[in-house]
Amino acid sequence: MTSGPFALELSSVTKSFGAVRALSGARLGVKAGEIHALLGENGAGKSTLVSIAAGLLRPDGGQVRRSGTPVSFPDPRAARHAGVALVPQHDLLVDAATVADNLALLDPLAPTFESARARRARVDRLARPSDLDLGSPDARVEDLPVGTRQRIGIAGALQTDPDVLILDEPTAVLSPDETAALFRALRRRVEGGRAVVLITHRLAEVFEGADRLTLLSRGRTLLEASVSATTPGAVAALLLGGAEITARPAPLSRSEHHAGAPSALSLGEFRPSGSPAPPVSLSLEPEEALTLLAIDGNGADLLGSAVAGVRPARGRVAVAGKSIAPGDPLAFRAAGGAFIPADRRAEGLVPGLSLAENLFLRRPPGRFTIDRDALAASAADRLRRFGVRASGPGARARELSGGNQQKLLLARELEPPPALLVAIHPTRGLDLASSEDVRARLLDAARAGAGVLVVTADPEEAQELGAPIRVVYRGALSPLLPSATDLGTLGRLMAGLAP
Amino acid sequence: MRLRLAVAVLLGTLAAATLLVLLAGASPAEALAALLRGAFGSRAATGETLARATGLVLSAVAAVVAFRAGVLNIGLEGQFLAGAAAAAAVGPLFPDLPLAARGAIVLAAPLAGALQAAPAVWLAETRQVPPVLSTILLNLVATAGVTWLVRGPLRDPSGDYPQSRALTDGALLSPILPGSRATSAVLVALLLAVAAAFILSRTHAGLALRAVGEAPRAARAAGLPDVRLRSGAFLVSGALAGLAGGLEVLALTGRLYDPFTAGVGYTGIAAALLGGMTPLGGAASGFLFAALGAGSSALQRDAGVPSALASVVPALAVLGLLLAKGRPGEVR
Amino acid sequence: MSNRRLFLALLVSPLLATLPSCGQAGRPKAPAGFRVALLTPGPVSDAGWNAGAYEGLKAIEKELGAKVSHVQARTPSEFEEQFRAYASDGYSLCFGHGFEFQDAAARVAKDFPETVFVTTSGSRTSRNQAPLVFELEQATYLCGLVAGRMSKTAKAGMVGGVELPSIKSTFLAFEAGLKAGNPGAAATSVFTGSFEDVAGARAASLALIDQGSDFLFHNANAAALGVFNAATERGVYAFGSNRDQNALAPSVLASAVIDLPRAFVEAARTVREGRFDGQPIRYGLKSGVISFVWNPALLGRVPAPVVDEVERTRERIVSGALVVPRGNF
Repeated sequence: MTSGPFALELSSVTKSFGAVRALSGARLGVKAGEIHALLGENGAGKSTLVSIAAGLLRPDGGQVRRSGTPVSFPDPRAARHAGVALVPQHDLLVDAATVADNLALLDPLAPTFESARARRARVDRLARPSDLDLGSPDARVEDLPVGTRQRIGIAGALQTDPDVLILDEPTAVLSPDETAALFRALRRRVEGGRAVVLITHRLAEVFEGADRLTLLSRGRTLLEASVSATTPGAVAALLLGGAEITARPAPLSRSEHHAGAPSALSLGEFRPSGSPAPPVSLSLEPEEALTLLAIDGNGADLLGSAVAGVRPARGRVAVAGKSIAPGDPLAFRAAGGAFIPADRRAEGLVPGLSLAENLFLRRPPGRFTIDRDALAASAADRLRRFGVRASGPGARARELSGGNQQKLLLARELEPPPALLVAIHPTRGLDLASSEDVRARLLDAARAGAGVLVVTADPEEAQELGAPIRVVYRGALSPLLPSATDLGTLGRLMAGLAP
Repeated sequence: MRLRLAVAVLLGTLAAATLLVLLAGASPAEALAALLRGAFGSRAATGETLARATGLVLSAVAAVVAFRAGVLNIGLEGQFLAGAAAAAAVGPLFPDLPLAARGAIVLAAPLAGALQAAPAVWLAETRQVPPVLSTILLNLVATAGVTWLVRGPLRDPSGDYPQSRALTDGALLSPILPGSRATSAVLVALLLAVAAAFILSRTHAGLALRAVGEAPRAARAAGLPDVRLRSGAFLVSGALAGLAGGLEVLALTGRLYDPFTAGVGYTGIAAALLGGMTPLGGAASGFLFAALGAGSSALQRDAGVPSALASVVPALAVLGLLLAKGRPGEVR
Repeated sequence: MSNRRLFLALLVSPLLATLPSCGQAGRPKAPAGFRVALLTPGPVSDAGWNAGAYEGLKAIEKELGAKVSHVQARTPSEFEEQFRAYASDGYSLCFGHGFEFQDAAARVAKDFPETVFVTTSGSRTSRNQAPLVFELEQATYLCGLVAGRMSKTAKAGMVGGVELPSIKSTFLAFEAGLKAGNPGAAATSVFTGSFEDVAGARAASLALIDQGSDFLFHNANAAALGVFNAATERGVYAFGSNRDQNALAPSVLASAVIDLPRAFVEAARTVREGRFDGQPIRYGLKSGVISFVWNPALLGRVPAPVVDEVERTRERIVSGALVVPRGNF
């Protein structure tokens, strides 16, 4: 590690969005030759800070220095010319364009007119050296699994060989093997004298793979330290500081009084449209939870979405004993189904509506006209009970951080208590405390009588949920596994290897 | 921010309009005086502003209703014409029953407007044809339809001219301001604007509609009947524009002519945009544009400035608004 | 939310600001003298229908010393608005340039008895409203006469745009003239359904020529170019109508012409001199508003007796000795 000025240094940075103060005196110092982890709870300001570093946002105050020289990036292109590149958490690829075209768009040095052949060649050039699967150059990005999309984003950022590469939660959608591969690649990069900034929620990754870390909380930098100079326990304490830690949920046990009740969910010869896998049959009883564990792109999300009716499918579906037509979210809801989608911003919440309106989209209080007092009161009550941190029920959903958005969604979906809850990646992108909270509430729902189907890509989460696991590989379901199955076995099953 | 924006847009529009007046060779002060006189200078002038406002307010509200449900209804002009044609068809069926004629028009015109929108609704929901395209094309159909109707089936048999049969004077709405052309139609338009505002912000259906309009996938996943809401809003939008056309016949012209409109449906969209896509904002902008229209007629009569200026000014205002709003974007 | 309200208030404020001025601003005291207004359905830069009326208005200003004003009214609703504004401003005479103005004129005429409303064509009349009626038939009769005398095939074709009574009336007169020139001659009419469809008019003309017509008359506005093209191509004669179209093609033998500006001046003179009686204001060959104009370049090919006969017939029409038939509309 070299000493001297920081490769990239942000100090005393402030930034507000309207009335919301995202950063108030944040600092980030990145040295050449290091992997720098950026930690913080949801809404701490991590994404805002790196957006400023990469020229996507302009700070209200504070300084940005590049190798000691003050700089200001009017746009991302300027930042990239200065050697700073960001791979955002939610990729900014053009859905309708091909892989080749997207990579061309991400290349600031691409000629104005470039032949299709040259663009295809670029895909090959970027994929070959690190053996990245970027998909077929002619595939449309919208048809690709999210993991591939992320690799395209990273490959796009690496085209200019930036001195400082910033990755916003790159491992959230990756399998353990993929994560390990990513860290190996990042390590090779920094050994050449470059720097990498990594936003993550997984402390294990930080302590295995990073050199130094910065911890943000509520817009301020709480800790900047060498990884070797601190411990996971100390960081976790800081991260969870103030947040309520829910006790580890008790394992589920099926009670007597639901014995005669119809299954919460039963699928017969069920197959989502576009899935290459054979049809699936399964059933889920009230008070029963089931975890579908899979690397993205293996059809677990698709299965969950299709059950909730938001993707077309064929086969038989019954929710709480009521037979419904596949691909009809209205029927799913009418039968008592609830749904937490993978993409809470596009499929979960209505960003421009208030929190109260989002909570009571279907059945606001009042007969024909909305009883606004009752709406505000019951919304405020629910926000409090579900721990949603917001300025009030009148705030817009888009103003919330990811974790609070997810809690808002839970607050809507879990009341009134559903017969069946389908939750896809319910804790993706959430901080530790929020994740714990979400998992506890999912299990509470099961305890209250719902059948709960959780789709996740995180084997540790599958273990923590304590529900039986079925691993999905290329659309096919493994036999039931106990939640205590070891990570190695789960990882091998997820990768399609024999356990 | 909003305040500065509005001031900037108004000042910019004023400046541009002044420049145009100068180019047309008139004195800006004189022009402004003529403009104000034409819009509000007398009871008759105020009446003209109110008479013009009816169609503009209803079109603006129609645009808002569709837009808030996520539909860009550019077909207001055609739906307006369909409503006018329906009014001209059913009104004369009751020569001795003025109230029946009014009733028939008030029922038939919205129905015709909704029917004119229906093909676009069907194309959008079953064939994914963007309403922007289908409604523009349907406007052409409606315009040609009016040309055909006044020369064919609806032609007044008693005369030489391509125009429909006239409503009886008893059926025509009478002025609410004596000596002017302002009728109760403008009150109907205002009432509907208020009703639309109330429904959108205060009712279950309004909330569901806004959800579907802003985040169709989320609304569908949450179990809202998205297709029904979107289609319904689209049809209601067509019905409002159709009613505007029917009221134009019932309050002002008494029959169908060709051409019948000079773009009230398009100006309505501009008013809705300027009004921030809210029913009351759209209605206020509709009144503003109506005053501009009436005022600019006086501008041509008294100062010799071409009245085409009237259609330039709203366009400038909307462009200015979009320009001011579309600041170099920041990505969050 | 409150920001939005503020925004709306700001939008509306220019309207409110002007409200107090309503009463006292009032309208300026009507200046004395003869004032004439013109409403056109389209822009006066169209080099045609509206331009002719505007020329008439300018001529009224110049010849009668009147104060004039013009406004374009695009929709039926605006027609009444503009009439009302002029009438309440004390204008003596308002022209509405087209039949479509007559309903609006009638509604306003009732409320403003001191103002005279004249519409270019139309049929509604009252104490202070009447249409201008152009007896173009008198000139088209002469066209028919020429065709009857000169046609070798004894067949003439007539191409119309839309089948309107006023168009059919000119055809009726043409046919009457044709039979006066040659009792054995026959005329065939075709309507293309459009006043703009040049290609359609051309195809219709070619068909008529194929059936033996060697003279073509039209009343098809802009589509006339198709008639002239066909006639030139096949070497037959055509007549112009409404305007002097003799220069448009080498096949145009003569034109039946309406002098629109002159009609406006004459009508304004009638009103100013107090001769307006609430009856349709008719203009035929006698007034000079309607005329039959030979194409000077082709006059040499017309037998002298025919030229003489046309002149004699014209005089008989002017004197009232000959009444040209016209459609009842």
